Amino acid sequence: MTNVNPQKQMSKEAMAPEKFAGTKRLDRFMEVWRRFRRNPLAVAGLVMILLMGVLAISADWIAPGTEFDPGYDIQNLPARLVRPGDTFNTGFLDDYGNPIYESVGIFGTDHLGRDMLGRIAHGSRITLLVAFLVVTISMTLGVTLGAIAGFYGGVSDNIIMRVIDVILAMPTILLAITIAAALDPGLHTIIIAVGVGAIPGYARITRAQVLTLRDQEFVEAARSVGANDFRLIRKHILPNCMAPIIVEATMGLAGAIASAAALSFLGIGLAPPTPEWGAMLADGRRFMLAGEWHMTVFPGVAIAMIIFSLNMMGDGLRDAFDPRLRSAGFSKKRFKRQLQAIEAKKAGAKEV
Amino acid sequence: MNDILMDVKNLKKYFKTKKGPLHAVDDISFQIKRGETLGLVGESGCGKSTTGRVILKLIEATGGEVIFEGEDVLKLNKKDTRTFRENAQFVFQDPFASLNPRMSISQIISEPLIINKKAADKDDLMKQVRKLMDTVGLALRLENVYPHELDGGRRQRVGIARALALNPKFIVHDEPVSALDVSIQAQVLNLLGDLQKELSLTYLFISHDLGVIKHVSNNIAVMYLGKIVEMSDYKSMFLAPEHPYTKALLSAIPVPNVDITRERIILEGDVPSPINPPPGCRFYGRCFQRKDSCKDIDPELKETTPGRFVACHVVNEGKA
Repeated sequence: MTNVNPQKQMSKEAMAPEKFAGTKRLDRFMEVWRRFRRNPLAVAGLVMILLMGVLAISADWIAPGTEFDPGYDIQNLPARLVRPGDTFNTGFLDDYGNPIYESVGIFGTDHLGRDMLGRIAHGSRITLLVAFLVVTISMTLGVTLGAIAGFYGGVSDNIIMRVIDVILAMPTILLAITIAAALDPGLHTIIIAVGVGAIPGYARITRAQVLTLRDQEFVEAARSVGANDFRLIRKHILPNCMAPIIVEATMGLAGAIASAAALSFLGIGLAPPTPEWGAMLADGRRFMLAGEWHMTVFPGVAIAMIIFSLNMMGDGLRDAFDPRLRSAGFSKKRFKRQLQAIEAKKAGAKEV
Repeated sequence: MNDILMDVKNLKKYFKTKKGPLHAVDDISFQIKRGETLGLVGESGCGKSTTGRVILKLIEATGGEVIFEGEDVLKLNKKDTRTFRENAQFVFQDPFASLNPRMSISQIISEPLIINKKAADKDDLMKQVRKLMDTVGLALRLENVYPHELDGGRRQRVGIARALALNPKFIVHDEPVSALDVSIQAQVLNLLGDLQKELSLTYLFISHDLGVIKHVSNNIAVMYLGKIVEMSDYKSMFLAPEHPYTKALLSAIPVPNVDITRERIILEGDVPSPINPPPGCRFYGRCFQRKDSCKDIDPELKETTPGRFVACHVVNEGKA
């Protein structure tokens, strides 16, 4: 349009555009955040996850390592299996010949005298790392495959979706065990094993979204100005189907943590000194009946809490992204109404 | 400046359906002169939009030729198609669906420039975008605004700016004002008229609204069920329609005068299915002037008087 109509003066606004630069870029995000904030459970979940992040960051401060041992593997054998709040006999005598007792960390110690709090703190790093890597990898693959299947349809759709169906046909945990058993043990094995099982979810969601979006007029409009397929998918289709994918990813974080813990619990995850929460749970299982509850309860609660918070946040995000799909949540009023309905039914049944 | 820019010959587009081929566009031919507007009018589902999309290669044609500046665009390879698309652009019907909700106005308008590498750098790009916004009458403060924050008229201006970005010679307008309020329709139509004069553009203007068509067109083609039934310049079309379908169509325009009662031709029956249409005239079942021969022989589009084409046995025989 540069050679058009040189006589026509540009308007005043055109002369000084800087003044009018908009500030509405963040509006959509703020709108989602505003709705998210109104959901107390979701906010609680977010806070919990942030706390977990703080725990992971401060692990080296909570349980500093030594020259020889990492912070999660400092064994203090006299302090084996000390419950929270208990003291243990250090084996030393004080000046009067009495044995010296010392207290341990607030979560107690495990069967090798390692501080449980330190191990859980260090474990949160692994848990979060595994969760984020699994989700990143499976989301990237799943979204790519789903987008290709949905956008091109036909043969590629058939091939991709049948492979996805095959993965879906196997129970996730069984699939993960099979993959983990086939590869060398280690962090990458867990990530691959858990990640493969998560791909179908992303692929299906993305495909469904792409199918509805690819025939939209704005996609056709972009094509009519010369955009190629890659640009159409990347710039026009994917940004418009991110909301359900983000929700799936949040939920997927929880699922990945659970699966990784399950693998470690079964002993096919990370090698022993690693403070993976699932592995700690497996360690504690042996001592549970002997009354050493703290070895199972703390890792168990840690796993449960992070999964719970992620699920809460995922629910909140879904509602925030799409107010029309708002899930009802708990309401006292409706609970009362339902109770009344049940009672009325009972009363009616008696009369008959 | 009276040479022909767009010459469509025997264009066909059949969609595959389970019941058989759907004849959306069935053997139509028309020409558009440089700098003029051809109005394509017809009822819903008669193939107007399909015609527009096929000649811009947004959907594949089944047969025929679309000759744009001496070249058949249907036979172009990928690279030449790109060049063709720089010259021929599309303005979409629904300004709510045709703008990506995740892109700001300046991003939408700059997209054609980025894709076709028409800007030297970012500053140049923004300069061009601002100029385009100014051309279509969009306030520059709107450049970082998202489509959902705009009203229909402004959105349609964004769509027009996007179409203008590549400096096209030819624009297909697919019902560009049907989704807008009447007052805004007038603004957008005036804008389109001004742009046509300033930039010497050629339009194919698709609409079901006769008032709009009359306002913008030099020539008018009336479509019925995938066929052009009558084509002439806008004055004679409105003064003296010849094809019975056109007559019925024009009789439906309300007259803004309570004292005038116009003889209203009310058609009976429904539009037949475009899937496997019967032989003979497509309009046979609803025509008030039909003869027996209409049932079996499909009338050709014939020039009755210079510049006037009608596809009707009754009209053509009367003239011959």
